[in-house]
Parts: sequence; C-alpha cells; structure tokens
Amino acid sequence: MGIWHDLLFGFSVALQPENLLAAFLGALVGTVVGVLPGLGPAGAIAILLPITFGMNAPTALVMLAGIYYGSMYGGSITSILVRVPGEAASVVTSLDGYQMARQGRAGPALAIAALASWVAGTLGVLALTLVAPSLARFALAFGPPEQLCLAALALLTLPTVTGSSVAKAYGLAALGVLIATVGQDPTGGLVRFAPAAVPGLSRGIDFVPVVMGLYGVAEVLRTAEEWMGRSRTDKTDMMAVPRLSRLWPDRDDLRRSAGPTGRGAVIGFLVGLLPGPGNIVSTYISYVLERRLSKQPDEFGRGAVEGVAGPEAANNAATAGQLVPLLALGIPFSSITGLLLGGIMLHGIVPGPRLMSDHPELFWGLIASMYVGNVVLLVLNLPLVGLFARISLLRPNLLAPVVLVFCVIGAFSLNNSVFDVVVLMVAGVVGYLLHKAGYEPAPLVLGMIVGPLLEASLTQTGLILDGQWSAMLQRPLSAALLGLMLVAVLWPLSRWLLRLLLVREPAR
Amino acid sequence: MRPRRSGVARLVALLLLVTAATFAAASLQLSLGTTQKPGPGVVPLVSAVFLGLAAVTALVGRRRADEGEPPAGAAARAVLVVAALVLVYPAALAWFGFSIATVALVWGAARALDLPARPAALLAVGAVGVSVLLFRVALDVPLPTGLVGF
Repeated sequence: MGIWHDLLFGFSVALQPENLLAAFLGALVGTVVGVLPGLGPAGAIAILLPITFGMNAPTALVMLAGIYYGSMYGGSITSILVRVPGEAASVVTSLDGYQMARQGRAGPALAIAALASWVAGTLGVLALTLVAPSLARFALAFGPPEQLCLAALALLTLPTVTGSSVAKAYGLAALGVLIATVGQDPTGGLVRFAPAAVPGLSRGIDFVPVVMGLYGVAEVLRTAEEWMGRSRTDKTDMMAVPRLSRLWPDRDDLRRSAGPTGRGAVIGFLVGLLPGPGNIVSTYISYVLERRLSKQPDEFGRGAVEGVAGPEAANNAATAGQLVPLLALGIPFSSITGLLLGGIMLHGIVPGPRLMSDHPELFWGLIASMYVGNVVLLVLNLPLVGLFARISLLRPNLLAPVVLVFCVIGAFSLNNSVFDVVVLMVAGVVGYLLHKAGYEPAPLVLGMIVGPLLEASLTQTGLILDGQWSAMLQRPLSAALLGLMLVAVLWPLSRWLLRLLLVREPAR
Repeated sequence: MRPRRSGVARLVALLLLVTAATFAAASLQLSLGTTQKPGPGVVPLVSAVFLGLAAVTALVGRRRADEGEPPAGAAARAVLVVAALVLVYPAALAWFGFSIATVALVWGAARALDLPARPAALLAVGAVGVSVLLFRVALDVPLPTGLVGF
C-alpha cells in the first residue's frame, strides 16, 4: 500500500507540465544521441548537465534519466537500418536486426525493438519501484563505517568491469580521487594542492568540466583522427537508409518475441544491479541464452527476431536496474549513473539512503517519470523512425565542432569562470591521450564523485570508532561489506592466476 | 619477443607516474593525523601510491590490444591542430570574448576536419550566433565578453 501511495505521489510530480516536457525532451535528445555514432549517453549527459542548472532538481534528473534510457532505444535504430550501433549496448541488436532489414523487414525489426524496449523498460521500472525503497529503508541503518565500505566497494568493483586492464582502471580511479582532493579539505577546511600561481585551484576542480572534457572534447579529437584517417571514397560513400514499407510485425513475430522479451527483462534488471556496464553485458547474455533456447539456432545471425527482442529488452531493463544502487544507496555502479549522481549533487542534494525520505519528490518523481518516459519513447519512435535514421547520416565534421561550443558554454556557465574552460580543454586532451593508451575514463569519473564521500566517511569513522578500526568487523553490515570488498579484490586476482596457469599448460 | 608498448601508452604511464610522485610529495607535507582522526594527507597519499603502482605496472607490463598507435599523416595533423586550438582557446576566450574566440575555434576545427572554408565559416557563425541568442539573450548566461567587449 505504501509503495503504491508513494508512486501515485510520484506521478503527481512526473505529470506536472515542466516534468512531462523534461521527460519528452530527455527521451527525444537521448534517442538522437543513441542514433549518432560516437557521442554515447555518457557524453550526452556530460555535455547537457549544465543545461539543467536552471531547472529544479526533479525536473533536471527526469531529463537526464530520459537521455539515458532514450539513448538505449536510439542506438537500436541505426543498428538495425545501417549496422552502425549508435552506442555499445546496441552492438548485439545489429547482428540480427540488420539481417532482417536486408530481407526487407526493417519495419518489423524496428517495431519489435521498440515494443521489447517498452515492455522490458516498464517491467524494469516496476522492479525498481519494488526493490529500491526496500533497499533504501534497509540502508538507513548505514553509518559512516558502512558508507566508507560502500564508497570503497564502488571504487574496487567498477574498475574491474570497465573493459580496460585492472591496473589501468584502479590507477584512473586513484587519479579521480586525487583530483577530488584538490581544494578545500572537506573535514578540516585546509586548502590542499593549490599553488598561489593558479588561484582557480583553491576552490577545487569541479567534476563537470572534467567529465565534459573526457567525453566531449576528447570525442572531437578522436573524430578528427578517425575522419581524417578515412579515404575520400569512405567519406563520400554514405550509407543508404532502407525504405520502410511495412512497420508492424505479424502475429508470428509477436509470438516469437514474447518469451525473449520477458527473459531479457529479467536478465537486464538483474545484471543492471551489479557494478559495471550492465546494459552492455546483459545484451550478450540475453543473445546467448536465446540462441541456446531456440529450436532454430542457425537462424541467429541471419535475421532471427528473437535476436532483436531479447537484447533490446535486456538493455532497457538494465537501465532501471542500474538506478537501484544509485537511488537506494547513493552509490553509482556505472559511469552513467555516476553522472546522474553528479546531476543530483549539482542541485545541493546529498544522495544516499535518506534521499527517499528527505526528497520524496525527486525519488518518486523520477521513478514515475520513467513509466511516462517509456510511453513517450514508444509514441515518439514508431512514427519518427525514418527521421532518426537520417540524423545518423550527419557528417562528423559538421557535428564535432558544434560539440565544442556546447562544451565551452557548459563548462563556463558552471561558475562563470574561464578556469573551468581551461580544465575542460586540458581534460579533453588528456582524455584523448588516455583513450589512445587504452584507458577507459569511467573509473576517473567515479573516483572524482566517490572520493569526497570516502574521505568524509573515513574521518567520521575514525572518530566514531575512536581509532579502533577492527571494530568494523564487529558491525554486521560493515563486516559484510568488507567481505564483499575482499571478494572484489580476490576475483580479478583469481582470474589472473587462472589465466597464468592456463597459458602455461601447453608448455608442459 | 614481447611486443613493445605503444609510445602513447608509455608517455601516459610516465605522466601518471610524475603526477603520483608530485601528489605523494605534496601529501607528505600535510598532516597524516592519527588513527582516531585521519589527517588531510591520508587519502591523497594512499591514492598517489595506488596511482604510482598502476603507472609502474602500465610501464613494465605487456602490451594490450586496446593500446593505439599515434595517428599519422592527415589524421595526425588534424588531431594536432584541434588539440592546439582547444588548448589556446581559454586564453583567446579571456582576451577576445566568447563570440570571436568561439567562431575562430569552430572554424579552425571544421577546417581541420576537412570542411571547405566557406561552409566552415557558415557553421562557425551559425553555431555561435544560435548559442549567443539561446544562452546570452534567452537564458541570461553571462558569456564572457573579453577585453574587446564582444
């Protein structure tokens, strides 16, 4: 009863005109971003964060979340029509979706993708509605020692699942924490690492220009390299968008998609709860599972409708799953939820288990807006699919310079300071070099966001436990979290040992 | 023979190592506090040690597939031009203001990306014009005017 009452309150927030508009604009921008190769949801959220400064917190978060789940659907459009995944979570969809398009079934493939996204997205939000409040209530028992463990756990787990090497990922997470320590010490007020020659450093380095640089400006540099590295024929060889003669799937398509959609929703939500890029990983799991369960596994890769429905359902449900730790614990387990967390903090709201009780309009407004947003996506995407497909053909040399303008305005308007523009540009060049050296920037962002929480809870824990740090093992929750941290450290170590043994095996 | 790490990977690892050493040295100047009240130097020092270890691992470890080679030819020129533009831009922003500096930035980046001069100029003026109308006029964002007041 309580949850449904609160959800109704959430709908009263989500259905306010400005929040409805934010959900619509977020879903629209997200779809466009998903369609455009290169500029992923993290980049789009980073670039558009400053636009939300003038909005109230629920409206801002509704819009940013709309961009997130909108991009999940947008990515599938170009995957299916031109085999160019707009973002990583749509790579699997292109395997069968593009084959369906080549067989003249682009319309049914897009419709199945939209329907599976809508059904699984809604089921995912329903699960979020049920799970997040219970977890948040449970997490109210968390004190500084548990918060310290949670922050450390986030720093220990996300870097191991980002795709780059574990050492590189931990290094960047540590760099993120270091950058966050520049400026005033959160507990004592001492100004650190700010030489007098650089006065801007004394107020610290804001994470917004860093993120915009890492994802926006660095992307422009990468585009310059890729675009100029192509031959002239490659540049002019623009891909043709298939004609959409028939949009609606037939009864057989719908029957074959029902099971994969349901299973994809469950897989997506559960994988989304775990640290890491759940919306990408879940698509692969769903695809492999559907292929194993199929009576015609040979059809996969040749236009099996199950290969579109399952992964599309999974990546949309994972979006809701990833919001559970963010809303209930205030801890981001992925780079995108880290950016959403940053969006909350920019409005002066402290995320964490008290978010639900202290800011119910934000907590429940966001959840309710996701039900609305999923409907908006369905209504938006079916009729406008042809238009979105054409946006994907926008030449990168027109788009990239405009991204720079957005980044500059966003960074400057944060504090009306040129220093933030300096940070933006330096972060952009550093981001490009990091990318070339095989580093994924997500751990750095996470380090910058979680670092201050880690430092504050470290000091508070020291005071609470009176310096007896072993007492953390006597607190059941912190002991359990310490156990999880141990697993997080030992897991990659055991994989490394196993690999070492397997590599040596043939030499015997 | 073990494949050599790419030049960029070695450069980045070295830069990270220098950063770690600088932060570690500066952290040691701060108080480390006690077990009851950790000082402001603890978290930066521990993080610097982690960063240093990671940088050393990246320097001596095996080459990974995700490491790219530096761009060559036209691609390298484009990256260098855009990188130089973005690094010089903040100074131009302070001196010449948003409109002039950003038109130059967008035009330069578009040219580096092989857009002919006239479309590049149209793109630059259009993007900046729309931005000024939207942000300075409509949303009242005080975009910098610089020393020339524009």
